[in-house]
Amino acid sequence: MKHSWLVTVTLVGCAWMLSTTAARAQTTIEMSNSAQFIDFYTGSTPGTLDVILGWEPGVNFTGNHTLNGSLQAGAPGNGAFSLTSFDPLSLTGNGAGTFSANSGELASSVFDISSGSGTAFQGMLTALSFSQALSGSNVVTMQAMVQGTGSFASTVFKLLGSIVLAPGGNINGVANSNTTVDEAGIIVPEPATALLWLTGLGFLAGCAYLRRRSAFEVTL
Amino acid sequence: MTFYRSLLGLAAACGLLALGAGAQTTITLTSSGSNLVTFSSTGNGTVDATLGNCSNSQCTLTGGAEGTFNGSAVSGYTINLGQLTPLTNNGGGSFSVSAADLAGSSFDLSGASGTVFSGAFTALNFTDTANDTVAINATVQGSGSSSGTTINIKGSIQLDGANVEAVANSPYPVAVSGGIVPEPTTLLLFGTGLLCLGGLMRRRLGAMADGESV
Repeated sequence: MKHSWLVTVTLVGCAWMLSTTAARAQTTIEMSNSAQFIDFYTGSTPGTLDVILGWEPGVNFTGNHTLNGSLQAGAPGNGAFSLTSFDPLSLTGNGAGTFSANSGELASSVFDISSGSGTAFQGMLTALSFSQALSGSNVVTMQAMVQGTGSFASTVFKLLGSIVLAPGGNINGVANSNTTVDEAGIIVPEPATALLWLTGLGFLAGCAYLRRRSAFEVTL
Repeated sequence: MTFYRSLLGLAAACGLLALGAGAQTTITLTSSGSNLVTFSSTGNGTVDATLGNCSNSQCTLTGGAEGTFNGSAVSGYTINLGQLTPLTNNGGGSFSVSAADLAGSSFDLSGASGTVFSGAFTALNFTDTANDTVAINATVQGSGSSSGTTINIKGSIQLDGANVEAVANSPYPVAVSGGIVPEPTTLLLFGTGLLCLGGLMRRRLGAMADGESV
């Protein structure tokens, strides 16, 4: 009882941290992989780019495509997503490596998060953009805003993904090419997440090593 | 005067060389229209190639060509191939289509009077020649009325930033595509010819102007 104020402060602090974490989970969802390609190809006018979400080599460019994959830990449902859109989507460059979709073309998109037995979330994209991460890097960052419909009408969240192209590939080059060229890659866990995973694994390995070592010393 | 004679001699030599190359039945693919050649990898160290648009496991690539066959100038080609298994890596950025995948292929050349050659691939190779350029080299064996004839095919695919070897070595599934474009050497030859013609016209116009003033 002597330190009840300390206990209260700790509990309030924990509650605040949990609420912050929960709020973050509700507003940003990260995609960790895609089973199909995201394909960028030279647009019809110089400096523009077209994108297909869910392309496969040898399949026709125009029409409905579905990009399937999984979300990172903390996402609603069982973490499996599917994004259907009528492709190609036209992207406009801002001159600094970021290309954005025209919102009108996103109106027919459907973004689902599966719950295993059904749908945990259903919505549509209201904004979509792609940007090259760093000069010389072949990583493209995908950002989207998703607006839920039906029972999720009030839910808006930000979708993040990291697309890896072939070494040397870049969407600026594709957009500004004199001939029609394209680059396609899949969504992979972003480097920061991969680093966190590696750090965690390293920590666990270190713990295991220390436990084995101390057990060995006790035996001696 | 001597300069123009040398220039004319050079142009004639260029023309003879071009004719000589044509006589060896080497056909150059100059474009693939809106069709693309795609190199893709599932991240396992191998690379697949897709030529043109595919439907029911059959892919078709069409475009423009230049060269002569049996005295007829060719202007276009049509390639039909099934969906290919991973290419064979020959090292040094060279990849080839397996003989089994070439069975059932067709290659047709068209000219002003229709189809001038029909055949099937007996060899088809892709080689990185620069970071964003891939050379196509193929041998086609004639069939039907072209039976017994073998011609060489060459072409140049324009990619962007990446090449076939980078695709093959990517740890992630990736794909790059590009169209067939005129070879730089062909463009250079064309440019040289235009330059010669420009020089001749200038000389003629100059001589006419001199004649009028006199």
